[in-house]
Amino acid sequence: MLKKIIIIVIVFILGSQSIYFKRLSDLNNEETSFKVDSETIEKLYREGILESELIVPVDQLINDINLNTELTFKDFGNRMGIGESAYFLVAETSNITKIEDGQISLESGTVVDAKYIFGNELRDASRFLSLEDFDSQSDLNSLTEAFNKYVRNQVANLDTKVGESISFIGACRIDKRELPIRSVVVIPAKIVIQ
Amino acid sequence: MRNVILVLLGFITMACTSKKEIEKPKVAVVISTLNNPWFVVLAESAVSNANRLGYEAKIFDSQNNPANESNHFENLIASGYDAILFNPTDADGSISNILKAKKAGVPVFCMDREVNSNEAATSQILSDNYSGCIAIGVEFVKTIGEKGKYVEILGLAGDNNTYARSNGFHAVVDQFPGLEMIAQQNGDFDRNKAMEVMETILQANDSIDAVFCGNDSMALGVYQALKSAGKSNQIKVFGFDGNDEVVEKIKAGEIVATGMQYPKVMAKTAAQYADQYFQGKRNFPQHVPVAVDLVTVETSKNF
Repeated sequence: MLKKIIIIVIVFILGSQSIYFKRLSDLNNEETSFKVDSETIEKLYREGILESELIVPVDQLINDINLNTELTFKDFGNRMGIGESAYFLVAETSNITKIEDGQISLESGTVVDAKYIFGNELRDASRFLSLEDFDSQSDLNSLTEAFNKYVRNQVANLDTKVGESISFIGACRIDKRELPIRSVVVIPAKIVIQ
Repeated sequence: MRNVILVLLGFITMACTSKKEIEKPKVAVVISTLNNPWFVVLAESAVSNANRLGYEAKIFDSQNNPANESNHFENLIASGYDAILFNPTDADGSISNILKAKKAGVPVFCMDREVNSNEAATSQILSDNYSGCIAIGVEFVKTIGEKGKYVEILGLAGDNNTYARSNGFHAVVDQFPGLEMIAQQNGDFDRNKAMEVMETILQANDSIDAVFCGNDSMALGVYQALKSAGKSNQIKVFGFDGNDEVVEKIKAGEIVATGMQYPKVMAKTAAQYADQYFQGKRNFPQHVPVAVDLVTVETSKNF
Protein backbone atom coordinates (compact mmCIF):
# COMPACT_ATOMS: atom_id res chain seq x y z
CA MET A 1 0.00 0.00 0.00
CA LEU A 2 2.82 2.37 0.99
CA LYS A 3 4.63 1.62 -2.32
CA LYS A 4 1.46 2.39 -4.24
CA ILE A 5 1.12 5.72 -2.46
CA ILE A 6 4.79 6.54 -3.15
CA ILE A 7 4.42 5.76 -6.84
CA ILE A 8 1.26 7.87 -7.08
CA VAL A 9 3.15 10.74 -5.46
CA ILE A 10 6.10 10.34 -7.91
CA VAL A 11 3.78 10.25 -10.89
CA PHE A 12 1.85 13.27 -9.57
CA ILE A 13 5.03 15.29 -8.93
CA LEU A 14 6.60 14.44 -12.29
CA GLY A 15 3.33 14.88 -14.12
CA SER A 16 2.55 18.24 -12.51
CA GLN A 17 5.97 19.59 -13.38
CA SER A 18 5.58 18.71 -17.05
CA ILE A 19 4.87 21.35 -19.63
CA TYR A 20 1.25 21.39 -20.71
CA PHE A 21 0.63 20.52 -24.33
CA LYS A 22 -2.55 20.97 -26.30
CA ARG A 23 -4.38 17.67 -26.55
CA LEU A 24 -5.33 16.14 -29.84
CA SER A 25 -9.00 16.27 -30.59
CA ASP A 26 -9.10 13.08 -32.52
CA LEU A 27 -6.23 10.95 -33.70
CA ASN A 28 -8.03 7.79 -34.59
CA ASN A 29 -10.29 8.90 -37.38
CA GLU A 30 -8.03 7.63 -40.16
CA GLU A 31 -6.97 4.14 -41.08
CA THR A 32 -3.31 4.79 -40.33
CA SER A 33 -3.70 7.27 -37.56
CA PHE A 34 -0.20 7.92 -36.32
CA LYS A 35 1.77 10.53 -38.13
CA VAL A 36 5.16 11.90 -37.21
CA ASP A 37 3.98 15.29 -35.99
CA SER A 38 4.61 17.12 -32.76
CA GLU A 39 1.10 16.57 -31.43
CA THR A 40 1.37 12.81 -31.78
CA ILE A 41 4.76 12.82 -30.12
CA GLU A 42 3.50 14.91 -27.22
CA LYS A 43 0.43 12.72 -26.79
CA LEU A 44 2.56 9.60 -26.68
CA TYR A 45 4.87 11.26 -24.16
CA ARG A 46 2.19 12.54 -21.81
CA GLU A 47 -0.68 10.08 -22.08
CA GLY A 48 1.31 7.04 -23.10
CA ILE A 49 4.06 7.43 -20.54
CA LEU A 50 3.78 10.07 -17.83
CA GLU A 51 0.09 9.40 -17.15
CA SER A 52 0.19 5.66 -17.81
CA GLU A 53 -1.40 3.22 -15.37
CA LEU A 54 1.27 0.69 -16.27
CA ILE A 55 3.98 2.47 -14.24
CA VAL A 56 5.25 0.30 -11.37
CA PRO A 57 7.98 0.90 -8.76
CA VAL A 58 11.30 -0.62 -9.82
CA ASP A 59 11.64 -2.83 -6.71
CA GLN A 60 8.11 -4.16 -7.13
CA LEU A 61 8.75 -4.99 -10.79
CA ILE A 62 11.96 -6.86 -9.98
CA ASN A 63 10.23 -8.81 -7.23
CA ASP A 64 7.21 -9.68 -9.39
CA ILE A 65 9.30 -10.65 -12.41
CA ASN A 66 11.43 -13.03 -10.36
CA LEU A 67 8.41 -14.55 -8.60
CA ASN A 68 5.88 -14.74 -11.42
CA THR A 69 7.51 -13.97 -14.74
CA GLU A 70 4.71 -14.82 -17.16
CA LEU A 71 1.99 -12.99 -15.28
CA THR A 72 4.14 -9.88 -14.82
CA PHE A 73 5.07 -9.84 -18.52
CA LYS A 74 1.39 -10.17 -19.38
CA ASP A 75 0.16 -7.50 -16.94
CA PHE A 76 2.86 -4.86 -17.39
CA GLY A 77 5.19 -5.73 -20.28
CA ASN A 78 4.92 -5.04 -23.97
CA ARG A 79 6.85 -5.54 -27.18
CA MET A 80 5.69 -4.51 -30.64
CA GLY A 81 6.59 -7.71 -32.43
CA ILE A 82 8.08 -11.06 -31.43
CA GLY A 83 10.90 -11.61 -28.94
CA GLU A 84 11.94 -13.02 -25.58
CA SER A 85 12.24 -9.60 -23.96
CA ALA A 86 9.65 -6.95 -23.15
CA TYR A 87 9.63 -3.35 -21.99
CA PHE A 88 8.15 -2.02 -18.74
CA LEU A 89 7.28 1.45 -17.44
CA VAL A 90 8.86 2.12 -14.04
CA ALA A 91 9.31 4.90 -11.50
CA GLU A 92 11.60 5.36 -8.52
CA THR A 93 13.17 7.90 -6.15
CA SER A 94 16.75 7.29 -5.05
CA ASN A 95 20.10 8.95 -4.32
CA ILE A 96 22.80 9.30 -6.97
CA THR A 97 25.99 7.37 -6.21
CA LYS A 98 27.87 7.85 -9.51
CA ILE A 99 27.57 9.72 -12.81
CA GLU A 100 29.66 8.61 -15.78
CA ASP A 101 29.10 9.14 -19.52
CA GLY A 102 25.45 10.06 -18.98
CA GLN A 103 24.83 6.96 -16.90
CA ILE A 104 23.40 7.85 -13.48
CA SER A 105 23.90 5.09 -10.91
CA LEU A 106 21.50 5.11 -7.97
CA GLU A 107 21.70 3.78 -4.42
CA SER A 108 18.82 1.41 -5.27
CA GLY A 109 21.00 -0.36 -7.86
CA THR A 110 19.17 1.17 -10.83
CA VAL A 111 21.17 2.81 -13.61
CA VAL A 112 19.44 5.65 -15.45
CA ASP A 113 20.81 5.99 -18.97
CA ALA A 114 20.15 9.64 -19.79
CA LYS A 115 22.46 9.71 -22.81
CA TYR A 116 21.64 6.87 -25.17
CA ILE A 117 17.89 7.35 -25.65
CA PHE A 118 17.53 5.78 -29.09
CA GLY A 119 15.71 2.45 -28.75
CA ASN A 120 12.15 1.15 -28.43
CA GLU A 121 12.00 1.01 -24.63
CA LEU A 122 9.62 3.92 -23.96
CA ARG A 123 7.62 3.48 -27.17
CA ASP A 124 6.88 -0.18 -26.57
CA ALA A 125 6.44 -0.03 -22.78
CA SER A 126 3.68 2.58 -23.22
CA ARG A 127 1.41 0.14 -25.13
CA PHE A 128 0.23 3.31 -26.85
CA LEU A 129 0.84 2.13 -30.40
CA SER A 130 0.12 -1.02 -32.34
CA LEU A 131 1.69 -2.43 -35.49
CA GLU A 132 -1.58 -2.00 -37.35
CA ASP A 133 -1.26 1.79 -36.90
CA PHE A 134 1.59 1.92 -39.42
CA ASP A 135 1.74 1.31 -43.15
CA SER A 136 5.37 0.23 -43.02
CA GLN A 137 8.22 -0.45 -40.64
CA SER A 138 9.95 2.69 -41.83
CA ASP A 139 6.92 4.77 -40.73
CA LEU A 140 7.17 3.21 -37.28
CA ASN A 141 10.93 3.81 -37.23
CA SER A 142 10.44 7.47 -38.18
CA LEU A 143 8.04 7.97 -35.30
CA THR A 144 10.44 6.26 -32.89
CA GLU A 145 13.32 8.45 -34.04
CA ALA A 146 11.32 11.66 -33.63
CA PHE A 147 9.94 10.54 -30.27
CA ASN A 148 13.38 9.67 -28.88
CA LYS A 149 14.72 13.03 -30.01
CA TYR A 150 11.86 14.69 -28.14
CA VAL A 151 12.61 12.68 -24.98
CA ARG A 152 16.35 13.44 -25.23
CA ASN A 153 15.44 17.13 -25.21
CA GLN A 154 13.29 16.62 -22.09
CA VAL A 155 16.14 15.11 -20.07
CA ALA A 156 19.06 16.98 -21.64
CA ASN A 157 21.26 19.35 -19.64
CA LEU A 158 20.04 18.04 -16.32
CA ASP A 159 22.58 19.24 -13.79
CA THR A 160 22.64 16.32 -11.37
CA LYS A 161 25.31 15.67 -8.74
CA VAL A 162 26.38 12.67 -6.72
CA GLY A 163 24.51 12.61 -3.40
CA GLU A 164 21.37 14.27 -4.77
CA SER A 165 18.05 12.47 -4.79
CA ILE A 166 16.17 12.14 -8.07
CA SER A 167 12.77 10.82 -9.10
CA PHE A 168 12.20 9.41 -12.55
CA ILE A 169 9.67 7.79 -14.81
CA GLY A 170 11.15 5.65 -17.56
CA ALA A 171 11.23 2.26 -19.22
CA CYS A 172 13.43 -0.80 -18.90
CA ARG A 173 13.97 -3.93 -20.97
CA ILE A 174 13.72 -7.31 -19.30
CA ASP A 175 14.75 -10.54 -21.02
CA LYS A 176 13.23 -13.83 -19.87
CA ARG A 177 16.56 -15.53 -20.61
CA GLU A 178 18.39 -13.37 -18.07
CA LEU A 179 16.37 -14.16 -14.94
CA PRO A 180 16.55 -13.68 -12.03
CA ILE A 181 17.23 -9.97 -12.24
CA ARG A 182 18.72 -7.89 -9.44
CA SER A 183 18.63 -4.42 -11.00
CA VAL A 184 17.57 -2.64 -14.18
CA VAL A 185 18.87 -0.05 -16.64
CA VAL A 186 16.21 2.58 -17.24
CA ILE A 187 15.73 4.87 -20.22
CA PRO A 188 14.20 7.95 -18.60
CA ALA A 189 11.23 9.91 -19.91
CA LYS A 190 11.41 12.44 -17.10
CA ILE A 191 13.85 13.13 -14.27
CA VAL A 192 13.27 15.55 -11.40
CA ILE A 193 15.89 16.50 -8.81
CA GLN A 194 14.29 16.36 -5.37
CA MET B 1 -35.07 -44.31 -58.49
CA ARG B 2 -35.11 -41.65 -55.77
CA ASN B 3 -33.34 -44.05 -53.42
CA VAL B 4 -30.65 -44.76 -56.01
CA ILE B 5 -29.98 -41.03 -56.41
CA LEU B 6 -29.77 -40.57 -52.65
CA VAL B 7 -27.30 -43.47 -52.34
CA LEU B 8 -25.21 -42.04 -55.18
CA LEU B 9 -25.20 -38.60 -53.57
CA GLY B 10 -24.13 -40.20 -50.31
CA PHE B 11 -21.21 -41.95 -52.02
CA ILE B 12 -20.14 -38.71 -53.72
CA THR B 13 -20.26 -36.80 -50.42
CA MET B 14 -18.23 -39.53 -48.67
CA ALA B 15 -15.69 -39.56 -51.50
CA CYS B 16 -15.29 -35.79 -51.34
CA THR B 17 -14.93 -35.83 -47.55
CA SER B 18 -12.29 -38.59 -47.69
CA LYS B 19 -10.32 -36.70 -50.35
CA LYS B 20 -10.48 -33.54 -48.28
CA GLU B 21 -9.31 -35.40 -45.20
CA ILE B 22 -6.44 -37.07 -47.06
CA GLU B 23 -5.30 -34.00 -49.00
CA LYS B 24 -4.04 -31.62 -46.37
CA PRO B 25 -2.88 -28.23 -47.65
CA LYS B 26 0.58 -28.13 -49.27
CA VAL B 27 3.09 -25.46 -48.34
CA ALA B 28 5.83 -24.15 -50.65
CA VAL B 29 8.98 -22.60 -49.17
CA VAL B 30 10.54 -20.30 -51.78
CA ILE B 31 14.00 -19.04 -50.74
CA SER B 32 16.17 -16.37 -52.37
CA THR B 33 19.32 -18.52 -52.22
CA LEU B 34 20.50 -21.68 -50.52
CA ASN B 35 24.16 -20.73 -51.05
CA ASN B 36 24.11 -18.79 -47.78
CA PRO B 37 23.86 -21.05 -44.69
CA TRP B 38 21.64 -18.47 -42.96
CA PHE B 39 18.94 -18.99 -45.60
CA VAL B 40 19.34 -22.76 -45.39
CA VAL B 41 18.40 -22.53 -41.69
CA LEU B 42 15.42 -20.32 -42.62
CA ALA B 43 14.24 -22.77 -45.32
CA GLU B 44 14.69 -25.93 -43.28
CA SER B 45 13.01 -24.40 -40.24
CA ALA B 46 10.04 -23.36 -42.37
CA VAL B 47 9.69 -26.91 -43.70
CA SER B 48 10.06 -28.58 -40.31
CA ASN B 49 7.51 -26.24 -38.72
CA ALA B 50 5.04 -26.80 -41.56
CA ASN B 51 5.57 -30.57 -41.20
CA ARG B 52 5.08 -30.34 -37.44
CA LEU B 53 1.72 -28.65 -38.08
CA GLY B 54 0.78 -31.53 -40.34
CA TYR B 55 1.45 -30.06 -43.78
CA GLU B 56 3.52 -31.33 -46.67
CA ALA B 57 6.21 -28.76 -47.50
CA LYS B 58 8.86 -28.40 -50.20
CA ILE B 59 11.78 -25.97 -50.71
CA PHE B 60 12.29 -24.03 -53.97
CA ASP B 61 15.68 -22.29 -54.41
CA SER B 62 15.55 -19.08 -56.50
CA GLN B 63 19.38 -18.87 -56.62
CA ASN B 64 19.12 -15.08 -56.19
CA ASN B 65 17.58 -14.95 -59.67
CA PRO B 66 14.17 -13.24 -60.04
CA ALA B 67 13.49 -15.28 -63.22
CA ASN B 68 13.86 -18.54 -61.26
CA GLU B 69 11.61 -17.13 -58.57
CA SER B 70 8.96 -16.23 -61.13
CA ASN B 71 9.07 -19.75 -62.61
CA HIS B 72 8.74 -21.28 -59.14
CA PHE B 73 5.63 -19.22 -58.46
CA GLU B 74 4.00 -20.20 -61.75
CA ASN B 75 4.80 -23.86 -61.25
CA LEU B 76 3.71 -24.10 -57.65
CA ILE B 77 0.45 -22.22 -58.29
CA ALA B 78 -0.25 -24.66 -61.15
CA SER B 79 0.70 -27.61 -58.92
CA GLY B 80 -1.92 -26.65 -56.35
CA TYR B 81 0.17 -25.42 -53.44
CA ASP B 82 -2.00 -23.77 -50.81
CA ALA B 83 0.41 -21.32 -49.14
CA ILE B 84 3.86 -19.89 -49.79
CA LEU B 85 6.45 -19.11 -47.13
CA PHE B 86 8.56 -16.70 -49.06
CA ASN B 87 12.01 -15.15 -48.86
CA PRO B 88 12.04 -12.72 -51.82
CA THR B 89 14.95 -11.99 -54.15
CA ASP B 90 13.94 -8.36 -54.77
CA ALA B 91 11.91 -5.83 -52.76
CA ASP B 92 10.22 -4.51 -55.92
CA GLY B 93 10.69 -7.29 -58.48
CA SER B 94 9.09 -9.96 -56.29
CA ILE B 95 5.81 -8.09 -55.85
CA SER B 96 4.35 -9.29 -59.17
CA ASN B 97 5.00 -12.91 -58.18
CA ILE B 98 3.18 -12.45 -54.88
CA LEU B 99 0.28 -10.78 -56.69
CA LYS B 100 0.03 -13.78 -59.05
CA ALA B 101 -0.30 -16.06 -56.02
CA LYS B 102 -2.80 -13.71 -54.41
CA LYS B 103 -4.92 -13.74 -57.58
CA ALA B 104 -4.87 -17.53 -57.46
CA GLY B 105 -6.03 -17.45 -53.82
CA VAL B 106 -2.68 -18.57 -52.43
CA PRO B 107 -1.54 -16.60 -49.34
CA VAL B 108 2.11 -15.51 -49.22
CA PHE B 109 3.98 -14.94 -45.95
CA CYS B 110 7.28 -13.10 -46.42
CA MET B 111 10.18 -14.07 -44.20
CA ASP B 112 13.19 -11.88 -43.42
CA ARG B 113 13.12 -9.81 -46.61
CA GLU B 114 10.51 -7.13 -47.14
CA VAL B 115 8.71 -6.26 -50.36
CA ASN B 116 7.73 -2.65 -51.07
CA SER B 117 4.00 -3.18 -51.06
CA ASN B 118 1.39 -3.49 -48.33
CA GLU B 119 -1.17 -4.91 -50.75
CA ALA B 120 0.63 -8.06 -51.87
CA ALA B 121 1.75 -10.42 -49.08
CA THR B 122 -0.68 -11.64 -46.42
CA SER B 123 1.95 -10.76 -43.81
CA GLN B 124 5.67 -9.94 -43.67
CA ILE B 125 7.67 -11.37 -40.76
CA LEU B 126 10.94 -9.48 -40.63
CA SER B 127 13.94 -9.00 -38.38
CA ASP B 128 13.80 -5.62 -36.68
CA ASN B 129 16.96 -4.56 -38.51
CA TYR B 130 16.55 -0.89 -37.69
CA SER B 131 16.26 -1.37 -33.92
CA GLY B 132 19.00 -4.02 -33.94
CA CYS B 133 21.37 -1.56 -35.58
CA ILE B 134 20.39 1.18 -33.15
CA ALA B 135 21.69 -1.11 -30.39
CA ILE B 136 24.88 -1.69 -32.41
CA GLY B 137 25.21 2.06 -32.97
CA VAL B 138 25.03 2.69 -29.22
CA GLU B 139 27.66 0.00 -28.58
CA PHE B 140 29.77 1.51 -31.36
CA VAL B 141 29.78 4.96 -29.68
CA LYS B 142 30.42 3.48 -26.23
CA THR B 143 33.35 1.46 -27.59
CA ILE B 144 35.22 3.97 -29.72
CA GLY B 145 34.07 7.13 -27.93
CA GLU B 146 32.54 10.23 -29.43
CA LYS B 147 35.51 11.05 -31.68
CA GLY B 148 37.02 8.95 -34.43
CA LYS B 149 37.06 7.89 -38.06
CA TYR B 150 35.05 4.96 -39.29
CA VAL B 151 34.11 2.99 -42.39
CA GLU B 152 30.70 1.53 -43.27
CA ILE B 153 30.40 -1.54 -45.49
CA LEU B 154 26.85 -1.71 -46.84
CA GLY B 155 25.04 -4.80 -48.11
CA LEU B 156 23.32 -5.11 -51.49
CA ALA B 157 22.08 -1.96 -53.19
CA GLY B 158 18.30 -2.27 -53.62
CA ASP B 159 17.82 -4.56 -50.62
CA ASN B 160 15.59 -3.01 -47.93
CA ASN B 161 17.60 -4.69 -45.16
CA THR B 162 20.71 -2.85 -46.34
CA TYR B 163 19.07 0.53 -45.75
CA ALA B 164 17.15 -0.41 -42.59
CA ARG B 165 20.44 -1.48 -40.97
CA SER B 166 22.37 1.54 -42.16
CA ASN B 167 19.59 3.93 -41.11
CA GLY B 168 19.39 2.41 -37.62
CA PHE B 169 23.15 2.69 -37.16
CA HIS B 170 23.22 6.29 -38.38
CA ALA B 171 20.22 7.26 -36.21
CA VAL B 172 22.66 6.95 -33.30
CA VAL B 173 26.12 7.65 -34.71
CA ASP B 174 25.11 10.81 -36.57
CA GLN B 175 24.18 12.41 -33.24
CA PHE B 176 27.89 12.52 -32.40
CA PRO B 177 29.55 15.04 -34.73
CA GLY B 178 33.05 13.96 -33.68
CA LEU B 179 32.53 10.64 -35.48
CA GLU B 180 33.55 10.95 -39.11
CA MET B 181 32.63 8.39 -41.78
CA ILE B 182 35.60 8.38 -44.16
CA ALA B 183 34.31 5.67 -46.52
CA GLN B 184 30.99 3.97 -47.26
CA GLN B 185 30.97 1.19 -49.86
CA ASN B 186 28.87 -1.81 -50.83
CA GLY B 187 30.17 -5.26 -49.93
CA ASP B 188 27.02 -6.95 -51.28
CA PHE B 189 26.67 -9.07 -48.09
CA ASP B 190 29.60 -11.10 -49.47
CA ARG B 191 32.70 -12.03 -47.50
CA ASN B 192 35.21 -11.88 -50.37
CA LYS B 193 33.80 -8.68 -51.81
CA ALA B 194 33.95 -6.99 -48.38
CA MET B 195 37.54 -8.16 -47.92
CA GLU B 196 38.57 -6.66 -51.27
CA VAL B 197 36.73 -3.40 -50.56
CA MET B 198 38.41 -3.11 -47.16
CA GLU B 199 41.85 -3.79 -48.63
CA THR B 200 41.35 -0.88 -51.03
CA ILE B 201 40.08 1.42 -48.27
CA LEU B 202 43.10 0.57 -46.09
CA GLN B 203 45.47 1.57 -48.89
CA ALA B 204 43.92 5.05 -49.03
CA ASN B 205 43.40 5.67 -45.30
CA ASP B 206 45.96 5.48 -42.50
CA SER B 207 43.74 6.37 -39.62
CA ILE B 208 40.61 4.26 -39.09
CA ASP B 209 39.14 3.46 -35.68
CA ALA B 210 36.23 1.18 -36.54
CA VAL B 211 34.25 -0.56 -39.29
CA PHE B 212 30.50 -1.20 -39.25
CA CYS B 213 29.40 -4.00 -41.59
CA GLY B 214 25.81 -4.66 -42.69
CA ASN B 215 26.17 -8.39 -42.09
CA ASP B 216 28.51 -10.89 -40.46
CA SER B 217 29.87 -12.40 -43.67
CA MET B 218 31.21 -8.97 -44.55
CA ALA B 219 32.49 -8.47 -40.97
CA LEU B 220 34.52 -11.68 -41.38
CA GLY B 221 35.89 -10.48 -44.74
CA VAL B 222 36.81 -7.10 -43.23
CA TYR B 223 38.45 -8.77 -40.23
CA GLN B 224 40.50 -10.92 -42.61
CA ALA B 225 41.67 -7.81 -44.51
CA LEU B 226 42.60 -6.07 -41.25
CA LYS B 227 44.48 -9.12 -40.02
CA SER B 228 46.48 -9.35 -43.26
CA ALA B 229 47.35 -5.66 -42.89
CA GLY B 230 48.36 -6.17 -39.24
CA LYS B 231 45.62 -3.81 -38.05
CA SER B 232 43.10 -6.18 -36.47
CA ASN B 233 44.09 -5.06 -32.97
CA GLN B 234 43.68 -1.36 -33.70
CA ILE B 235 40.49 -1.25 -35.76
CA LYS B 236 37.24 -2.38 -34.14
CA VAL B 237 34.81 -4.45 -36.24
CA PHE B 238 31.03 -4.60 -35.83
CA GLY B 239 28.72 -6.97 -37.75
CA PHE B 240 25.08 -8.04 -37.95
CA ASP B 241 23.39 -11.49 -38.20
CA GLY B 242 24.57 -13.62 -35.30
CA ASN B 243 26.81 -15.89 -37.38
CA ASP B 244 28.42 -18.62 -35.18
CA GLU B 245 31.92 -17.73 -36.36
CA VAL B 246 31.41 -14.09 -35.44
CA VAL B 247 29.99 -14.96 -32.02
CA GLU B 248 33.17 -17.01 -31.39
CA LYS B 249 35.29 -14.04 -32.48
CA ILE B 250 33.34 -11.78 -30.11
CA LYS B 251 34.08 -14.20 -27.27
CA ALA B 252 37.76 -14.10 -28.27
CA GLY B 253 37.74 -10.28 -28.36
CA GLU B 254 38.45 -10.13 -32.11
CA ILE B 255 35.13 -8.61 -33.19
CA VAL B 256 33.25 -6.18 -30.93
CA ALA B 257 29.55 -6.85 -31.51
CA THR B 258 26.85 -8.23 -33.78
CA GLY B 259 23.04 -8.31 -33.86
CA MET B 260 21.58 -11.77 -33.34
CA GLN B 261 18.77 -12.51 -35.79
CA TYR B 262 16.37 -15.41 -35.35
CA PRO B 263 15.61 -17.14 -38.67
CA LYS B 264 13.99 -20.05 -36.82
CA VAL B 265 11.53 -17.69 -35.10
CA MET B 266 10.64 -16.02 -38.40
CA ALA B 267 10.14 -19.42 -40.10
CA LYS B 268 8.06 -20.76 -37.21
CA THR B 269 5.84 -17.66 -37.18
CA ALA B 270 5.32 -17.84 -40.96
CA ALA B 271 4.32 -21.53 -40.73
CA GLN B 272 1.96 -20.77 -37.82
CA TYR B 273 0.37 -17.93 -39.80
CA ALA B 274 -0.17 -20.28 -42.76
CA ASP B 275 -1.80 -22.77 -40.39
CA GLN B 276 -4.05 -20.02 -38.98
CA TYR B 277 -4.94 -19.00 -42.54
CA PHE B 278 -6.01 -22.57 -43.32
CA GLN B 279 -8.18 -22.49 -40.17
CA GLY B 280 -9.98 -19.43 -41.53
CA LYS B 281 -8.10 -16.45 -40.09
CA ARG B 282 -7.72 -13.60 -42.58
CA ASN B 283 -6.63 -10.58 -40.55
CA PHE B 284 -2.83 -10.53 -40.10
CA PRO B 285 -0.56 -7.56 -39.32
CA GLN B 286 1.24 -6.53 -42.51
CA HIS B 287 4.60 -6.16 -40.76
CA VAL B 288 5.71 -8.24 -37.79
CA PRO B 289 9.14 -7.25 -36.44
CA VAL B 290 11.19 -9.99 -34.79
CA ALA B 291 13.60 -8.82 -32.09
CA VAL B 292 17.34 -8.63 -32.80
CA ASP B 293 19.57 -9.02 -29.72
CA LEU B 294 22.90 -7.31 -29.23
CA VAL B 295 25.80 -9.75 -28.83
CA THR B 296 28.89 -8.39 -27.08
CA VAL B 297 31.61 -10.08 -25.07
CA GLU B 298 29.42 -9.56 -21.96
CA THR B 299 26.24 -11.07 -23.46
CA SER B 300 27.90 -13.70 -25.70
CA LYS B 301 27.47 -16.44 -23.07
CA ASN B 302 23.72 -16.32 -23.80
CA PHE B 303 24.20 -17.23 -27.46
